[in-house]
Amino acid sequence: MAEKVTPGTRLFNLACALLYTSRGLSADEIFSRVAGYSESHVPFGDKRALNKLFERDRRELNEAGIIVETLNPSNDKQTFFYRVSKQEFLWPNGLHLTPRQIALLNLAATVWAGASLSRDAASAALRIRGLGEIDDLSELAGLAPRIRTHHPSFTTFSAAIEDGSQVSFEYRKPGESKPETRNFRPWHLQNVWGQWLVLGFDLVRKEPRSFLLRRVIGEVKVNKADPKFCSKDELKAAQTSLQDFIDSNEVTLRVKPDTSAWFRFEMDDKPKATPDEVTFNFMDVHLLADDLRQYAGEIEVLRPKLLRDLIEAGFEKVVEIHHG
Amino acid sequence: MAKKRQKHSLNADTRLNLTIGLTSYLSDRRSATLQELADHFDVPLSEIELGISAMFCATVADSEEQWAMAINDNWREDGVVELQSQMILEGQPRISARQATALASGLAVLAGVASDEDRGEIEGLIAVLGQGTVKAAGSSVTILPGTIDADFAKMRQAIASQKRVSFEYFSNKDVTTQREIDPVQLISNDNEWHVRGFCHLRNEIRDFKLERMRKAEVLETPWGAQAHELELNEELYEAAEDDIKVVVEVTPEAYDLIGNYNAEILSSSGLNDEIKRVEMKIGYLPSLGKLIARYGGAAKVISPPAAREIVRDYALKALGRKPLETT
Repeated sequence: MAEKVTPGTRLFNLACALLYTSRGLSADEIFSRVAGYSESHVPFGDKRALNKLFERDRRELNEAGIIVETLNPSNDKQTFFYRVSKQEFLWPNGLHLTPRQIALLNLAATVWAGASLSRDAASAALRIRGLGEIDDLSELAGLAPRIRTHHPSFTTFSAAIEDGSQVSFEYRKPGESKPETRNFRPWHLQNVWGQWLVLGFDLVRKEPRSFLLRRVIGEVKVNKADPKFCSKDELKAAQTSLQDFIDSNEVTLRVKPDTSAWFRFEMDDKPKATPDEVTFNFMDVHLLADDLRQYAGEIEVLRPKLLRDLIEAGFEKVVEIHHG
Repeated sequence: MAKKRQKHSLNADTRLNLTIGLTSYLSDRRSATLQELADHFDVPLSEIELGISAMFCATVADSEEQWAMAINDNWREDGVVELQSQMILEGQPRISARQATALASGLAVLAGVASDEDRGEIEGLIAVLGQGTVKAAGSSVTILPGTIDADFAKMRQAIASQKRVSFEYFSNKDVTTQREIDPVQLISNDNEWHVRGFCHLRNEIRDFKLERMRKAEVLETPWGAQAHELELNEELYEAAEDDIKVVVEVTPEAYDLIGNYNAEILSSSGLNDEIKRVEMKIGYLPSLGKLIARYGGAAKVISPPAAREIVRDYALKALGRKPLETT
């Protein structure tokens, strides 16, 4: 081992050591045995520099998706052991991926390009490629579905769901100027037709709720750990009630021919009895109003009246803030 | 197949993940040339060399014994890596819960557009990834895809068979034209699908929204040379030289604009810094009216004045009033 240990190698050595220890390694064991640390280690010497280095490496590993956990088996708050968290996902033993499956996982990782989970997806893809040969997905070639989520709250919610934490955040209901604080145990992130929702349990109202990420104002605060994970039934019930709500909301529009709205609502294919009318379901009347304001002069809202009023109120607001 | 983009130097955590990937790849295959590894992982040769030298030096301690991965001494000179034994990373990769979520949700998006045959395989993979996140009820993310446009299947077929397509296109300037393109990629922006291809009317690479197409047909004509050479670029919206810079203030309800237009954030203000002042580049200024007014006040144009007028007049017209006199 004549070569000087680079930071990249040190990090890798540390990752390997922590991955394959079962009881965990103490800081002393790491400093004396892991190449990259051991060169500067002096038994009973000053460990401040090494400790600092270790803390920095831990943060770096964390960012790379390797979560280092701290164990204190004797509960004395003095002897700590470190190892890679057992909550880490371990590929099911004996599962062999075909070249085609590896290729599919790779393609799945690209879906996040540039958006909230892109770093996690890209690093996972590099590890997955290690599993073997990769197939050429000729029939999926050219497909590039992309998630473009830029809601800053997405990653915090996602981490809180996985770690099991309560959160609080400011939520602004449509039409109100001031947001309200919500205390929440997030369960699940759901994308409905391009809109992200977080489903979970409202800790004040004591019932399942869902919130649109676009109405979350500012940072989501992570509060105390809450080991109560939702059951499959609870999640299913929350998803069903959301779907029932969508099914109960119906809109009917009249669309002007040869406009962009005519294309958007695929009016060419509509039945001939009402060739210029279209009826469909929606999730949120305020979001639908936002969407339909793009088609000014091209559509007429036949029902519901609330939608018509919201579209108009939005235009009034636009005029007001673009005066002068 | 289009040319692959050559990625430049990687950051520290990507390197680490690459090294973990290299270790499991080599423990399966035992031997590979450096070039084969660079091709397989789609990274520059220099990054493979860095990764292998990290493995070469790796010593691990879990007991009093020291273990090293045994790699042939002359790997650099020979250009071939042989992993003779390694007791460190046995075969199976570990990925974090977040990485599993990222992959599972990516797979869910793919399942929405894949053929029936692939869908079965994709759902199987989602189930495998779901096993890892034992605490939560399955994967922590669900994606309900919207309806897929009828022309989607035709575009896929044309891309796979490298054939030309024809269709009527209703542009954002509200003009219908007859187009023939060599389609190379179907890209979605959340729920909205675009096809990117070489347009024979304009003689350049263009993006077309599927929802603005009509009467799409796959032709017998094969792709021209331009489509084969197409460099695929990730950006959905590519700024052109003559684009107009527009400064807009957005609250969270209109943050979509930032992602969709690749806007640059200039400053933040307001409660919890919720108001972002951003600069977006717009190719065709008259289209700004619907783009901004749709948010009903959550997006506000700051400059230039001409852009403010366009937005205001779009809203006035929608309300059935006359545009204001320009001062």
